[in-house]
Amino acid sequence: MRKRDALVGLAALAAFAGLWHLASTTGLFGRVPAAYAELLLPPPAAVARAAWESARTGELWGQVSVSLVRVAIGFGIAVAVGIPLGVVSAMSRAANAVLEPFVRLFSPIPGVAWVPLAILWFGLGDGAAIFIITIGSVFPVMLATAQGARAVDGRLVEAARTLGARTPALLRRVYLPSLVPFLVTGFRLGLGFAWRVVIAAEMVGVPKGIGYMLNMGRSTGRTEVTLLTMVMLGALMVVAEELVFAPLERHTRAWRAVEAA
Amino acid sequence: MSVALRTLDTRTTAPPHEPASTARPESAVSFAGVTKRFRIAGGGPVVALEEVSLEVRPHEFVCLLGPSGCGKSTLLRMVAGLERPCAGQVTVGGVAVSGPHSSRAMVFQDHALFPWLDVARNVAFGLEMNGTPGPEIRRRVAHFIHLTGLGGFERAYPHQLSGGMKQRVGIARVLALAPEVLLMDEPFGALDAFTRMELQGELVSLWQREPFTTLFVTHDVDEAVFLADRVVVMSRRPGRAKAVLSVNLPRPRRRTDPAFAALRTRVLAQFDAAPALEDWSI
Ligand SMILES: Nc1ncnc2c1ncn2[C@@H]1O[C@H](COP(=O)(O)OP(=O)(O)OP(=O)(O)O)[C@@H](O)[C@H]1O
Ligand SMILES: [Mg+2]
Repeated sequence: MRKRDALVGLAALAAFAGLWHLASTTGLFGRVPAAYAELLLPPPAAVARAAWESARTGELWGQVSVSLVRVAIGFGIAVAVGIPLGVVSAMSRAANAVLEPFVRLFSPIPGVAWVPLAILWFGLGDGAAIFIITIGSVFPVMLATAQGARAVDGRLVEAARTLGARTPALLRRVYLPSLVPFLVTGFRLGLGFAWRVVIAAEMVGVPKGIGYMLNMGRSTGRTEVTLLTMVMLGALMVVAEELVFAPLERHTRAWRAVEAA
Repeated sequence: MSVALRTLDTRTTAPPHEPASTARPESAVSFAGVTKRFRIAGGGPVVALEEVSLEVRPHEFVCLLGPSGCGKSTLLRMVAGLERPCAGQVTVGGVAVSGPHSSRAMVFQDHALFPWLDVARNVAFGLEMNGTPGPEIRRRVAHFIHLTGLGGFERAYPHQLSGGMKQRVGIARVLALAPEVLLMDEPFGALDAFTRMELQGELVSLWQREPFTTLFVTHDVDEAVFLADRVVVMSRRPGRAKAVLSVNLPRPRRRTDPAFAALRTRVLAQFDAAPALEDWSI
């Protein structure tokens, strides 16, 4: 049944590509001149050619890796800062009282809104990109951690203590596993924000990267490059989901659903 | 025997000048004038337990029976080291309790199994904590899984088990540690009558086979009479040990036995009697 679902999905995608090809080669079904249609909506084959071309020259991987590295560093910082802050705000009332106003004030500001400041402070380069990625993703990580740390089941902590667990073992064997499902949620949200923000930053001026490539395609009249970049973006997210988040979530979901009930 | 078994818990030493009444060597668990008050935000102190004194002999099976809120769980938690008395002393094997220790393991009403560990790893948890070598862990885990009738469910997660099976895991998890004192806080309270009776029978045979002392909290009179050597009847707040009744029925006990019914009536009478029946002597 699942295999059939996947086949149906693939067929639908193929149909969509067919429709796209048709629209592109008929001048959007006769609405615009054919040459113009090529610019507005290059056919799938043109995108595939662009993919092959830029893969061969290394251009595609070059740009993608720039964005990936920026996200890895920025999100790494967000995790390194967000997890301790989350734990502290869950554990200490005072710390929470100090942190809460800042979280309330700053977390609703979209990451993109930091772009002008970031460029002003760090110039047009990696520093600015990393800064806004960190700002854009630290809050979901921190909030999910705090929520997870507050949700640790006190009875399990007591049970572990009566079974002989001391503090280090408690942290590793009870707190950490309790936190994992919340971290999965926080990381997924945080990485989503990080992606959006880095692309926006690269589109408005930070050189290189996926967002830069998106704009390049338009400004040089190579719309197929823009389309290729968009397909890449989707594919990257699918890969992250399938390789990282889905397995982690599958691992924790079963018992989590029951606990919540 | 229980003194000889106390090789693990050497962290605490008994104070040199103890009242003569506490910690006689023949008692496994002793409560001496134990009082516990809780402070609740915005209110005065709640006296949960007042001057509770009780001696539990090695390998005895004692049931704490009483209405909700009379401090049964609090008494048990003090033996577990999860709570400290405000006055008086709790000693196990002659040593004052100063914190949790795996020789005083607890079975919780809501099982408190680790949901992210399968059955075998839940049972292994305490053994991993006290540094038991791997092969010995595997041997003990297999043994107690078998003993509690969980064979074939080693790889199952708690959410895949029935309520009765979860309690079996909870019991296997503590028995694997060869505890001196087994603390059980209404372990069968959430189970249906049939599963409960089945587990009661199995618990008794496990207890007959292993050398541990059992403190078992319940508010089910039948359960207390079926399980206990002695039933401690507690009074409502402030909690006190109101009466102690010996159950001298041969085991295995039959609930249909007229002597069983007579004892049940005697226990129930304790709840009707307005003034406390002073039967502390036993
Ligand atoms: N952590 C706590 N903080 C404040 N009060 C508490 C706390 N723990 C217990 N109490 C109070 O102490 C009293 C005894 O509680 P305990 O849980 O020992 O009762 P119990 O006999 O086990 O009741 P039940 O049969 O309902 O489980 C109750 O009045 C309860 O409100
Ligand atoms: Mg209780």
